[in-house]
Amino acid sequence: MNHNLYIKLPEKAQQGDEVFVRARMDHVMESGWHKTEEGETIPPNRIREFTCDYNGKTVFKASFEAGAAPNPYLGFYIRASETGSVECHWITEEGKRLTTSAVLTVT
Amino acid sequence: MKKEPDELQRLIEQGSLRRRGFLALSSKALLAGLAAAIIPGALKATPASVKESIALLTGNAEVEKGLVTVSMPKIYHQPEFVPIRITVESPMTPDDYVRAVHLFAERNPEPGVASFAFTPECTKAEVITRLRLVQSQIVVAVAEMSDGSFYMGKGFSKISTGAGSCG
Repeated sequence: MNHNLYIKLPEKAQQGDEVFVRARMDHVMESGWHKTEEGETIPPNRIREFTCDYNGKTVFKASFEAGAAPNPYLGFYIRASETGSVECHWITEEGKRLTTSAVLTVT
Repeated sequence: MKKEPDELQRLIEQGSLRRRGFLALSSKALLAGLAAAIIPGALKATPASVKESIALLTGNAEVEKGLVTVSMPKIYHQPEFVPIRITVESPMTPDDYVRAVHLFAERNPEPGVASFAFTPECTKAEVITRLRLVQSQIVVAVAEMSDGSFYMGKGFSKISTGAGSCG
């Protein structure tokens, strides 16, 4: 299955500014509540964890449980301190780590 | 400076657009699948089980009301993608910040939705996300502060599905 990763944040910011980061991923986020037509329960398959690193330091984390929506979306705020990369890591059910990153230029 | 459009509002409108596209594409099989998807099995969360989950989380510490604001659309037509914004009032300094926010839904098959961990690097303790709600229900957010205290806030969304989605 092809998982597309998206990250959106302003390219430039001034030092100390508030930066709004949006991250999204294409994923079914199977909750384990659904059943097939034969009545078998579909096993849970979801993103377990999300981590956002800014300049190598973890600034925001999230973990998902059954109630999280498909195509998980997160919007949060970080403080611009210096030019560097904002990396988002998504950890799947199998423990696979999917990463996407963007560069934030601080003036 | 140009004011950014409100993110929650943008998500709500995006949902409306998606629905329009969905109706155009929908087939009987797809609709049946969706109906099956939102009918929960034997599992069932209740307000009491949410209280239990919160007690487990806090170690039976007292949870005060206030500081936490949960914003959701009053009526929404897509049970799988309900946008939600959780805001916790906090200065977000290294001495006083919000450590985590935990989210629970009272009438889903399972109460757990998601947990968010903040650091002082976040300018404000605010997160926007989407959740599944199998029916109209109350959503509870519990914030864990850096000093070990707990605060909670509630939000409600009415889920309306069907031809008119009016009620």
